[in-house]
Amino acid sequence: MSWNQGGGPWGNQGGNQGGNNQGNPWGQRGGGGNGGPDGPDLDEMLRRSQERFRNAFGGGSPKGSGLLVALAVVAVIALQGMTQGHFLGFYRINDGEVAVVQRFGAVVRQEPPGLRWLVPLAEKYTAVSTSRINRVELGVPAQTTSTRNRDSSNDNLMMLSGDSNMVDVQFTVQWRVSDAVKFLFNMRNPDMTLKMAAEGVMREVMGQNQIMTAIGSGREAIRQDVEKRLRELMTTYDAGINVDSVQLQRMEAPAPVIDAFIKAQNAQQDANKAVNIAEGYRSSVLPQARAEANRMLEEARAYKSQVVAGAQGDADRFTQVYNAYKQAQTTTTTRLYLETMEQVLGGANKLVLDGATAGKALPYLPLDTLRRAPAATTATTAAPAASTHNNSGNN
Amino acid sequence: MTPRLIASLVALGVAFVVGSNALFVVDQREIVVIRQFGEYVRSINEPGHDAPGLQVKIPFVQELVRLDRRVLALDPPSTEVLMGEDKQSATTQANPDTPGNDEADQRPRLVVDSFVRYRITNARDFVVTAQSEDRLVSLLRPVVDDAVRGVLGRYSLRQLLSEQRAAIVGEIAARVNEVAKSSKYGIEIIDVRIRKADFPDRALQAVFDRMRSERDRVAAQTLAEGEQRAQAIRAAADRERVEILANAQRDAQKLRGEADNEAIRVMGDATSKDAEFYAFYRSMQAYRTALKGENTTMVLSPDSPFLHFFATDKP
Repeated sequence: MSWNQGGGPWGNQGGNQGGNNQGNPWGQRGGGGNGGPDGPDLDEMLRRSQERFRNAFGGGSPKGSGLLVALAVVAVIALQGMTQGHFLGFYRINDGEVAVVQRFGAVVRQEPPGLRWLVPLAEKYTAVSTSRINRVELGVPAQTTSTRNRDSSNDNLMMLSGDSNMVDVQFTVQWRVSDAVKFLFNMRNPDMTLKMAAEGVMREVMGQNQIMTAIGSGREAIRQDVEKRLRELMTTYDAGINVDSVQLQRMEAPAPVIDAFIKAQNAQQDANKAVNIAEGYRSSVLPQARAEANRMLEEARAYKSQVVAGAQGDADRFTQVYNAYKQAQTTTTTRLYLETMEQVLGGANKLVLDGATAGKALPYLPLDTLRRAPAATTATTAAPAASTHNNSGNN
Repeated sequence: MTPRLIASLVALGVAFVVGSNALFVVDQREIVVIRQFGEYVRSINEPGHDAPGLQVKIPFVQELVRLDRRVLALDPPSTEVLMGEDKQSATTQANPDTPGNDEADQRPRLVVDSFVRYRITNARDFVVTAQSEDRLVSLLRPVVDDAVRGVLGRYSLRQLLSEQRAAIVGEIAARVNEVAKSSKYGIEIIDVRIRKADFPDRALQAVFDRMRSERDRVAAQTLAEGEQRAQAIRAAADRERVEILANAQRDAQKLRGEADNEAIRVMGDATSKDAEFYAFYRSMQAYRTALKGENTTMVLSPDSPFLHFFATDKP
């Protein structure tokens, strides 16, 4: 009884609705089930049943059958509502969702978030989230190393690049419902279509790129291109789907050949290394050469200074001597000569050979002995011979 | 219960059955075809004639066929397609020794996966020709397959992978649409897209081998080019080093020559005043330096001017 009373106002509403709604066969049944025995006329029965309703609830009449019928109607509506996600017409729409309400299949309105009501039995709603970002993943993520070893299987997203190479791609499309009505009614399985379209667009773009571009510098350009084309395509499909973004997880050479690509990359690094070493060689050799060159030049400059200064000194000295010599020419030469001889012969071993002796007999000079015994001095008295001393006499 | 009550209940039941058979709901996403004894009468909610909602028909006599009004997808199984000959590479690949069958072998085989999107535009035609969606799919599949093969067979792989792709795909769609129209399927092809066009699995190994060998070639080339650049740098460095040293040598010799020139000039200026005396003076200097030392042994003739007085009898 308490349950019945608690459900009273709901039941009342629902019952009225069912009774009043023209053209609703279920409502007719609900009303008709209560038909009194008075007349076969349908209108009459309706009217009476409505009266009895009022009596049953408003007047507090204890008539069991009326109450029972009202209860049954409420129960039918409640049960039917449960299958469609509402209770006696009341339903809740969460934040970010929109409810599309159909009356007998035709879209009549869209409801914003909050507690909403629809006409039970006649109307139904579909909640669509327009704020949630959905993801479609294409290709197999490479989480573990074991997946790398598997050869090309169909679940792997491999596609042809423009130069007939295969590229292993994994990417995600993020999308949102932009128009709930279009999303629900324009296309069957729009999310499936999106997935196929995304794959098609990716293959199309990949076919227009070279593999080295795709796995190298062109990655971001390809991503943007795919995003743009997919967005345009979904717009033309008019499926109420807006592509938010496309993210590339992986775009690389297929696993079976990735080692060759790594090798080629390493080769590039090795080549750079060789060049760097050569640059290093150059950087060390050239400064050395410049230092050497500088040293040679400095040595030459030193030589120049030395030689010129020396010559200048010698010349000056000679000039001085010459100036003095001019005063007394003969005596100066004689003195110079004798002084020199004195100095030269002073410390030397001397051997005086007579010219006549020298002419008659070949003098035997053991050069070795002379060199070994410098102290031994042999003096031979020379025969007096006239000698002229011309040197000093010359001017 | 009185007989009146029973009669009214029966009447009500009949009314309910009749009413529920006469009234029907047309959903926003469907087309309903009404047939009378199997014969087409009319269709409701066809594209362009929106009429969803509650509708009435003659009960029991007329029956309903519900069709999907939305854009539908057909995803035929992938087929292996022989691509057209590549005219650019055909000349280089042509083998004059064995014409004939080999020509076909040069044309690449691709596994093509297409998908078709269509919708029912003429419910009457659809119901008459295709009858159901399942049957339509089985009808359309060979048409799509034929169009894909026929069109792709005229283009090379290179063309398919180029900007021409959209045009080629458009051609396939047009061809399918043509068949669909002429055989009155009651549908409109919205587009045909090639989802996938890859080498068959058995050709993959060959592709991988080619990719691998190409990478190997690139690796070798990169290494060689790096080596080449390194050698060039080294050679240039060596050359530059030799040049620097040679230039320095030249400049140094020039400086030395200038020095000698200067020295000779200075000495010449000084000595030209009296060449005779200079010879004497310089000789004296040379004797002192050249004959210096303890080890010199002098063999002198009494005729020597130095011994002039030594040998003379008269003091």
